[in-house]
Amino acid sequence: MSKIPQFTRYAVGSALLATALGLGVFGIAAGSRDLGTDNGEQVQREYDEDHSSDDNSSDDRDDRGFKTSSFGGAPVDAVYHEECGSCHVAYPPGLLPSAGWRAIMDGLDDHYGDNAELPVDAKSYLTEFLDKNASDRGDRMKNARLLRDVANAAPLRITGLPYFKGEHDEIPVRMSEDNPEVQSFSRCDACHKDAAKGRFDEDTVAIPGFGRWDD
Amino acid sequence: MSRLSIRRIQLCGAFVLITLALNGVAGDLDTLLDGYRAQGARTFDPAAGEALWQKEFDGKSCTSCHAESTLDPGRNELTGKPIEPMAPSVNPERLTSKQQVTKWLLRNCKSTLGRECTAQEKGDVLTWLSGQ
Repeated sequence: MSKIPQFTRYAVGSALLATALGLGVFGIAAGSRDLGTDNGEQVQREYDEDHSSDDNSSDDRDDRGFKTSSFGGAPVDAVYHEECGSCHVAYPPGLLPSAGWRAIMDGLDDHYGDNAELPVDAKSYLTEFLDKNASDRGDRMKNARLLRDVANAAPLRITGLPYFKGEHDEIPVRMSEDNPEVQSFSRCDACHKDAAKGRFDEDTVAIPGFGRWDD
Repeated sequence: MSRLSIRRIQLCGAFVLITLALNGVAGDLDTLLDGYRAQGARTFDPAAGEALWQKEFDGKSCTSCHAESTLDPGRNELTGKPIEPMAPSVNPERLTSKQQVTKWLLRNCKSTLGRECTAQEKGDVLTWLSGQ
């Protein structure tokens, strides 16, 4: 060490320190570029690129590699999407128990403040569809968390379910109710782009104006 | 034949075809309007239709969700879901399905006006919308 002139030592040390600091600043700048923009599409694109070559023909998975019977999911029904997805996201039937869906279908003339009346045949078809795919039908083990601690036998709000509240209790108000692009937790598809397919995985969440949700 | 008379024949032919085409497209709408006339509606007045569309009922109007101009997309006030423009000139699918028109008039009149729209009101609004 004593053979190297002091000047050189200082020069090399300063250069190393500058490089390290420069890398750090660059990293912070690059990372914060994603904040404040909606990179939900980018998240989806990257996921698609990674999974485009997945061979899913042999099992019950959709084209994204997720099981079609995944949590909250249901077979896609054209009538349900047409009639119950024209004003809001077509909420996956697996999110509420059958009694809840029946109560909703019996009160369509006052549907959360709006009128959503249906012709008789559409109403009975859809009631049966919802009943068949409700959270308390089929795989009760898988849907147990949705049914946990539900006070009302016929819950009318997915957003009122204890499980739902628990899953969303860490989200700051500025990202949800005070976020003009979200405004209400009932707008699942504001952050969960594939909500209608029953896909709510955290790594597919993109909050408008804030980007991904990383715990 | 002179060029002028060939041109006349072409124009007549075009006029006939267009009229027939418009009749075909307006089929469902005409059926609805006839139905309203049968229920006692008088001549339909597009100006009255426009007035009803823009009128506020307890803070709500058709434009609350359907935008100030029918050429623009709207947004469901409660859910934020985008709504395609109502004007057939921009969105040719509008007013082509009797079933859809009947369904939405039933629901949205009840939501907005608090009651069903009368046959006269429906005819007025549809006549106005068809010209948008």
